[in-house]
Amino acid sequence: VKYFEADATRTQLGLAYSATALAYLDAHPDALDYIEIPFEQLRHTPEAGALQSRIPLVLHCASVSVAGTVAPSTQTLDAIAATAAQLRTPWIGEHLAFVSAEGLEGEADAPEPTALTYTVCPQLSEASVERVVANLDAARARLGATPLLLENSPQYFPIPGSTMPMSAFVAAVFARCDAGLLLDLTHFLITCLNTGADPMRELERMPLDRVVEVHISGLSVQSGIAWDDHAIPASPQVFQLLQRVLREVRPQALTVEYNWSAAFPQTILHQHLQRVRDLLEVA
Amino acid sequence: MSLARVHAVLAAGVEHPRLLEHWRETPNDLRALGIEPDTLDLDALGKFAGLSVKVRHNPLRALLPLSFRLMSVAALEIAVFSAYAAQRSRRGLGYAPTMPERAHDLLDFIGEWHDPNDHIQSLLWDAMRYEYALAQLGPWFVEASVEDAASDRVPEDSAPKHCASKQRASKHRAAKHEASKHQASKHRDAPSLRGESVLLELQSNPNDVARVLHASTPDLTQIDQDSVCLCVWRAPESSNVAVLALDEFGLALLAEIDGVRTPQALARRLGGGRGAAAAVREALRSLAEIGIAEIGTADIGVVTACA
Repeated sequence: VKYFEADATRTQLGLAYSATALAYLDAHPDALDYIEIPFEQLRHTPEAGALQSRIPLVLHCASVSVAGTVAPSTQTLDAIAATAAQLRTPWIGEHLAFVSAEGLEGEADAPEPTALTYTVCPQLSEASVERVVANLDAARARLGATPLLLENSPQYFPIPGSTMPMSAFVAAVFARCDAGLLLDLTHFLITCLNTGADPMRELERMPLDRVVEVHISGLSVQSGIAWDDHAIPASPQVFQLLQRVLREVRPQALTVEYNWSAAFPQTILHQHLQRVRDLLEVA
Repeated sequence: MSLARVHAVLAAGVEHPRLLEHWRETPNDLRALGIEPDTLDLDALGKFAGLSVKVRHNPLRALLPLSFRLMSVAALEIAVFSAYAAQRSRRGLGYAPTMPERAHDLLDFIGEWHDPNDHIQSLLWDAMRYEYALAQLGPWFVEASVEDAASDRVPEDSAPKHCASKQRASKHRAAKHEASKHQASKHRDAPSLRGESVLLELQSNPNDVARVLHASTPDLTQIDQDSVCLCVWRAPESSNVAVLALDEFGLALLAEIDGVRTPQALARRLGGGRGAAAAVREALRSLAEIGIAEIGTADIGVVTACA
């Protein structure tokens, strides 16, 4: 079994778990340092963990609902903790978002919480910052010693009651907690495109000194909004942002998330991994 | 505005897009929930619901690659899936647990949703029917059932889980011929079909669509409207699926072959007269050579053995 070993001298390069990643691993067994695998994947298909005999696994998660007002069950948190211990993951990456919320009254006297299948950008407010800090404390009590990284959400539309832009929200959260930052550059760019912000200026407002891991993936503009899209390659703008970030910080890991389509072209994946390696080398 | 209430409204809107339509028509109901209507972009929230549903259908990409590529190139994915999310919510329907069922439901939706006068939407309807037919005859519809559950919260592109969904798929099997179907009443002189087949009448050629979509800069306007008749067929002795290009007469003939009608009856149904009889004879001979049809004992001229 292989485990992720932090290396202060270099950024390790990985792929998000997918058929595309597995095919790439088969073709290039020594080209990757790790595979980032979702907790939810392992919960549903534990046999996917056998991959760790070939390559270290880093745990990603979408179940903690860090920015939510409805806590995950203790069983879920315990399962995440057990999975993290089993994988000896260096950290647990989690979305700075919510995936469950209180139910709306009207249809029932005591409505059940609404459980979503996709994480949602939270209200960007001081109340939300406080909630994240409290949720992190509660989650950590059950998740144990494995560090948590928080991943910036993509913002697709204004969230009612918000009082600050995403960069200020992220900065405020990180000023109040000691988590590391999983900087998703595509999410970041999407937010800038959808809110009319200048990406390079906004980047200066992000707590880059806290970056531990970076994500890159594609984005598509459809129906007037920029959307996360892991089925298409990252745009040149994402690589420009990566270049800019690497001037400031040396992340421990960089994950390429081309994991929505089994038909993602291996040649493009190979080229993009090489492009990332080149940027890391120059930096 | 209360954090909990804002999140509750966003989550409810994503999970039940019918609420977005209600709040659009009755903004006071949204206000009653503590959300000022002008602070929430209901259209954008509906599109986000579409993104969420799109991600849930990622495993279908392996089975419907052209269709998804087309939606991506035409920047249609969010429009399609947000409309789909709204439709299912309006009808009180969730999403099927298995990928074949999801494919079937999505195909049903595209059939209702697409505008036949819209070139791109028509291309999508054709591509999806074509790929669904290919998939329908592949192994994924008939193997053991496994639910897909993990991909709901986690975008992943693992191969679709196999399942038996013959019952749900029945609507799109309307044009599908199964050789054993008419065995009991089979007429000894009647031609019958071998294996399983799906007949398609398309307005675009899937080969042209694939060629354009795989270009480095796809230009969908280069795909001409072109009436194409296809038979997607799997022989009983094979696991491979073949696609036969037909003319309109061939398509009509295959649709009429049922193991009961004699060549003469088929000729009558296809226009009658000497011309039709000769054409039926010739076509049956060709179909028999390919192996898709078995010709009965009737004398239709020189008949070669089926492949």
